[in-house]
Amino acid sequence: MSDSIANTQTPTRPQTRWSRVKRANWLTAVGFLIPALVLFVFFELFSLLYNVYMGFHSWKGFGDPTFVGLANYVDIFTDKLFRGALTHNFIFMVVALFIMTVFGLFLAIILDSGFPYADFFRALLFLPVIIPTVVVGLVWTRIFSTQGGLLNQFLELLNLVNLQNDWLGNPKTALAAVLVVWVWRHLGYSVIMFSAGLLGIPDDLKDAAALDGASPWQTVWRVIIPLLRSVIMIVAVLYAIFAFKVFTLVFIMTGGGPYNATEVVNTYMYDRVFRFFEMGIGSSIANLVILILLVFAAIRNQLKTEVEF
Amino acid sequence: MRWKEIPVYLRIPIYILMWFLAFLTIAPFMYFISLSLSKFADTYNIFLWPTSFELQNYIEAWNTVNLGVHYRNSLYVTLLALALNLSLGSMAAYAMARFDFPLREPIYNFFLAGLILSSEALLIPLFLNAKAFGILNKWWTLPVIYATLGLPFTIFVLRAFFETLPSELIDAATVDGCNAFQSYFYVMLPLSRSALLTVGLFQFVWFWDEFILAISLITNDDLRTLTAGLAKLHGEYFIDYPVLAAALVLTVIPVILVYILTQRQLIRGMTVGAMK
Repeated sequence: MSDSIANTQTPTRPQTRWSRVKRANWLTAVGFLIPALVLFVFFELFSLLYNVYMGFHSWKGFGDPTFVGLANYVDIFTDKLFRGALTHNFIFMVVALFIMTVFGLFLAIILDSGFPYADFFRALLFLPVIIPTVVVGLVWTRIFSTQGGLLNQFLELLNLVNLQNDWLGNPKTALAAVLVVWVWRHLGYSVIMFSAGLLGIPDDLKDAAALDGASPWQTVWRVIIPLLRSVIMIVAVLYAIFAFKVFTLVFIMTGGGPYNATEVVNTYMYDRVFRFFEMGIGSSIANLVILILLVFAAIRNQLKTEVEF
Repeated sequence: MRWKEIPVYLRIPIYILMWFLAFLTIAPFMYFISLSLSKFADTYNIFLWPTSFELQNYIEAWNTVNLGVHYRNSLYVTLLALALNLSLGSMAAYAMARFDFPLREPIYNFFLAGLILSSEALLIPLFLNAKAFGILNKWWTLPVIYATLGLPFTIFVLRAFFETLPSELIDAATVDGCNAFQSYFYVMLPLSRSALLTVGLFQFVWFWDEFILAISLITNDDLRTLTAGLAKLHGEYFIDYPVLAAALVLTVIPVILVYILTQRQLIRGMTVGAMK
């Protein structure tokens, strides 16, 4: 198959300058724009501003909010649980970044080299990406289960009964188990993105290195990785953001437990709002999360000027 | 680098690794399909193949755990959100591609800023907003909010696409007597089918997958979507795994079908989404 499914780059068309209709017509433009703008202002801008306000207040969900200044922020930063949650997010991020960039790139390079059935592999690895997270979480909860779960059954089959474990119930393995599932679900995404990047490197370049006597290893290190530098950076930032957003998998698989071993920022926030009804605390955490996302976005924008997709 | 140039002593382990990965990817699917076809009594001894062929589990999942209702809700939320998102988003994109008006670029950047906000980050802000305005638990809550959260991406892709089309087409339509809406509807939209499909697929996967808003903004069981319904099913009842497995298989069928039918565009949509 000559044109691979990984060919995700949009075809470049000759750019024509749009002859825009001038000011006389701007009422028409407003007509087209207004429905989207109204919804966006109401649900995003207004929600965010209201949330900033709420972050300085204490509110149980009824009556009037009371102003508490920075007390909510002091509360969360002095809470060991919250700092633990941040740590788990950080571990998630580091592991995810490493596996997704290093292993994802490795797989993409192998598939790009003319590995047999490469298209099939790419399509298959991408399959988990589109499966709803809730479904993924429920399936893997069953696989890790102690009550006839697939993993423990396999270990029994292989006569490795002493390796059997309550994977999600044991604080030592719970976070790792969730991470494995997260990687299972996202790996294909990074492979596809690197594949797209690799397609952008002309075959001549890859072959020329080989003709000059470079080993495959040298070709990867001296030609492919330097040329993909910005794509690698973008994928890395992307996964940092993904890892920071993790919620549903943890919520479904462990609910943050056992003994808060898998608590992440989003599950912590969810609990404080929907279990303890501390709206102000929830708002202040949301404000922090948005601030962190803004920092990631700034980094990504910085990188994007270097690469055009 | 060519596969054939890699030394054989490396090729063999890589080959094994790749097929092992393929197995790891597919095994959970096989496991759950097997589970969904098995008798409850065999739940503890299921590997990657079914022990019987109990379609009864599917019927039970559909009828007894309210799955039929959740399914209908999910379809309806997803389709309504898609229709709203694509129509309003393409109109806004058209306005910004076609017309010159004050504050055009600031408004565009304002929309783009929404790209970084995930539904997780917006959960509490949206929940408090919806609570204050009494729009929790309405039949339109999720479609309208999903459509709105999807606007930045739709506008971003469609505006860029519109601007690759020759503007003479619209000028010609105008000369032929089309008003602004007609040239948008009869000229721009038909020409943008591929871009609309790319965006639509990205949004479809996202809407079908969405969970955190679905459990927080909707607490009325009759309005719950599939993901929320499944989580509740998992949490509240004694778990009949074959029935749960059948419910999960049914949940996944629409996305798998769409993936098989539109593989290439779907992957492109998701990748553009990541690189945005």
